[in-house]
Amino acid sequence: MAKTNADVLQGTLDLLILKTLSRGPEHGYGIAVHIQQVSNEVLRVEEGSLYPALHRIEQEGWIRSEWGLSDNNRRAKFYEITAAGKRQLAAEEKRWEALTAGVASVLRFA
Amino acid sequence: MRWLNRLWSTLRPRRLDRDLDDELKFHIERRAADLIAQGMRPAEARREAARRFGNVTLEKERARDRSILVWLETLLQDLRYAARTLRRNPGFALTAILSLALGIGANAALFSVTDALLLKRLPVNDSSSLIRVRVYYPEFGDSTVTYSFFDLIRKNAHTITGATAMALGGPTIEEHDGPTPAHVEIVSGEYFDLLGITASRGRVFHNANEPIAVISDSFWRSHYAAGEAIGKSVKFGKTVFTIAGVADEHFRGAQVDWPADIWIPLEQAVPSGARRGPNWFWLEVMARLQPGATLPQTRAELDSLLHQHLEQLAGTRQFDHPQQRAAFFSKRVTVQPAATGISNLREHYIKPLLIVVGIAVIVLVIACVNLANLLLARATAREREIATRKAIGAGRIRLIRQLLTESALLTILGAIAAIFLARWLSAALLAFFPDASNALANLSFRVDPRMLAFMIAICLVTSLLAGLAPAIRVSGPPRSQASSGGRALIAVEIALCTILLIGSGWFVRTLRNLRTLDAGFVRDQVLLAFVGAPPGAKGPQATARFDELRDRVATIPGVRSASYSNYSIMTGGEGQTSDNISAEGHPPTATENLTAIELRISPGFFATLGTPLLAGRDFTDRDGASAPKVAIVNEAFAKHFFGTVNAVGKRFGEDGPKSTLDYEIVGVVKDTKYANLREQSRPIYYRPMHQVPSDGGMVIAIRTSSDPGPIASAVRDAVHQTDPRVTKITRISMLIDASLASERMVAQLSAAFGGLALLVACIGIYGILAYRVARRTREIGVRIALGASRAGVEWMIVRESLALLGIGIAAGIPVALGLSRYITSLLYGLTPADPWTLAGALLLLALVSSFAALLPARRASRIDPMSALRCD
Repeated sequence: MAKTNADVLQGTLDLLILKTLSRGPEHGYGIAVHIQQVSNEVLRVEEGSLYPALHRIEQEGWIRSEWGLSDNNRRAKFYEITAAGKRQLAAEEKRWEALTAGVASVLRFA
Repeated sequence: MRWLNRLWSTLRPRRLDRDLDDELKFHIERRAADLIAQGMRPAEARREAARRFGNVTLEKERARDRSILVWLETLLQDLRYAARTLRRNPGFALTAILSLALGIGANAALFSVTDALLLKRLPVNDSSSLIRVRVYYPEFGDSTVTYSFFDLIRKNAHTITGATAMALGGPTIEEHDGPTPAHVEIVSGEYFDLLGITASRGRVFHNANEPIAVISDSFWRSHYAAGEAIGKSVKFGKTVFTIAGVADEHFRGAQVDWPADIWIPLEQAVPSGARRGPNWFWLEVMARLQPGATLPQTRAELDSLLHQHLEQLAGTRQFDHPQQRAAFFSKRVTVQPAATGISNLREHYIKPLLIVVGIAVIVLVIACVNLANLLLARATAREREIATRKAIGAGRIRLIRQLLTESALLTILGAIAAIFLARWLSAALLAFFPDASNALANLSFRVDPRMLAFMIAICLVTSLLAGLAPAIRVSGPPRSQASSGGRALIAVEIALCTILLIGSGWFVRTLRNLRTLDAGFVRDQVLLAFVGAPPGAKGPQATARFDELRDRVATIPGVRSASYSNYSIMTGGEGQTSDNISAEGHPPTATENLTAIELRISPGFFATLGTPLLAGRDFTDRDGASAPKVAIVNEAFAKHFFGTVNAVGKRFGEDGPKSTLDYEIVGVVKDTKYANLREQSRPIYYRPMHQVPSDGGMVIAIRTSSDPGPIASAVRDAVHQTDPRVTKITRISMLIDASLASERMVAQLSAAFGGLALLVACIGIYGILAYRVARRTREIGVRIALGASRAGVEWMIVRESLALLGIGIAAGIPVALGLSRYITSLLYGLTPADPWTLAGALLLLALVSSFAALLPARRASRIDPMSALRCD
């Protein structure tokens, strides 16, 4: 699969996943769709990086998963953010804001 | 928990696979459904969905790799890193591994013995319903029982489903080509059925109707090379037994102290007349509780059976006064769970053994604390590096894990060394117990699944204990006062050392007190030869033969004097007692103990043993059969029955108030210890051998004027020229050593471990101070530059260690005194608060730890201010 510029920046995928899950439990497909929709189709989450990321984050203890039933009554794995995940999300958001603020000021004054 | 999950997914990859499969399949189907909803044709939509996903299998593998390989890879990385760090500091690694090896090895060695004695259940059916039945005699405690009592139990008791009796046979069995060493266990016919033991080949016996034998699996392998054994005959005593079967593989009998090689039926091995002797207490009895029966119920029932039995015996006996009757009926049955088998070693040594276990645990904790301390110091030294790693994104968890990996690696290396050490330590431990030699097959160190489980548990605990403090430290924010945690650990180490040193002080002083106490006889230069009865000679004839023998021994060059007696001192109390002494002018009170030990001796006995005569005279050859009956008594006897040491001329008898006062006291000797060194002196009366001729064996005591070693063989030769057989030649000092086995073990091991702990703690103190001096080089340089004296700088550093010493000691003393109530019964001649012990331990601790502090202090005072200020 060819990479496109719309690929989510490395390292921010965690942030996007955690943010999405802070709304409530969601399955992998739902996460991908949500990110795509909310970003007005700018950010497209590649399936190839989504699932490994989910597993990695789960092992960090930031999210946990559980098998449940999807809206059309199919068995699906739902992810849910944990307390540690919420803390991590807060930290990542702060970092992201600092970074974007920094980039913004450079763009303004350079 | 996450860690466990990960391990779980490593172990169960298939489950993860299925999960992943389902999850990805769901994703693709949803994608396809959405594409169809947007107007795509179903087949095309599915293809597109799959295409967007890429290779499903590949994704699956990638995801799984994340979970397992990443984890394994990090582990390998951490291990490599740890190994590299250790290689870079070989001194550190060696110290850590050695102290851990000692700590773990000591615990493993003790575990193997404790496990065999205390924890391991017999490999039999439903071991928890087994009980051991004994009879408690007020005079000498719990005892094995007579055959008649066993017979009564097995036929009449209803709270048990059955009972079996066992006795130790000889250490050898006769084969056609001579004697073979083999532990023989003589057991009643119910034995195998009661325990639920079957034969792995051939058969076991279910009754005692025929002379057959069963051998153990290990004897079958070692002696018959796992070949043809069934049908072979062996002889025990006068009976020939035919081997009928080999017992289940792991079964070595119900007596831990006597791992059996061969079992023979009791009723075949011992003739009826002999086994029914009313005074022959020789059988261990094991029974199985009826389901639902409790120990107290069984005890009550067996007690009433015992009473019946005593009534029968009492029928033929005369009681002079009610106390005597009451004493006769005061015997009680004791029952105790026997799931772990029968062991007298357990009863004798479990307390000292548990103390040593406690000591070994403390040593291991000290080793852990020390390692924690060293790791902590290193972690603090790496603060800058760690801060950098944190800044570039290394997770704290990762750093903690790395430190734990390091302590785990050290622990595992220590444990491997410990296995070798434990084998040796266990042999050294068992060598303390002369009577454990028969049980070696059960007690000696062995790496079995239980041992491995223990080692793994100990490694886990150790690496957590040692790795946790540094890990927590690193995970916290950087602190400027870097080593406060390290100092707390040093104080803990000193507190533990204080406990160990005080403890070993108690035991060493106890041993010393016992070794130096006045036992009433000399300990060195006395040989004892245990000589069997001369065959064919009875009564006076036998005595005459022993007189001859004594005279012959007395002429051996280097022998100062020789004499003999019917029993020996210091063998744990075997001998004869009379429980009904009546003394001239001494009416007994209702509760009075009228027991005294009777010893028959030849003239010269006291001179040979070095026991001073306090009044009167020794026996002479004139105190013969036709002379008036005389006796010599000890101080305790004289004081008890006559209220004075000078009882010469007084009379006493040994058959109660109705008896005539047969004996005239002609001498009083100083009290001597009889059974062991700890006992209070008991009343003893001595009678001249010629007035009470005996048929049994004798103990010849020989006082030598030089080293008794070479004389022993001359004595053996002398005995062999006459008929009797020498069973054993030993020295009093060796008998004493044997009687002090557990005291010696506790004293020597606690001293050794105490010294070790002190050494380890000193390494800790040295390490932490040296490290602090290094960190304060600049500050100290400034102080010196500003005129601080070298002595002042030294004092500044030493003061710091003194503060830790003070805190550690202040914490350690109360704990030691608190623990002391568990061991007061083992102390002799001192109390736990003994000031000399406390002062000695503290002085040693203070001296050695100050020495450890002095080296870094020296280095601090030698700091050159100029180069110190330039550094950094």
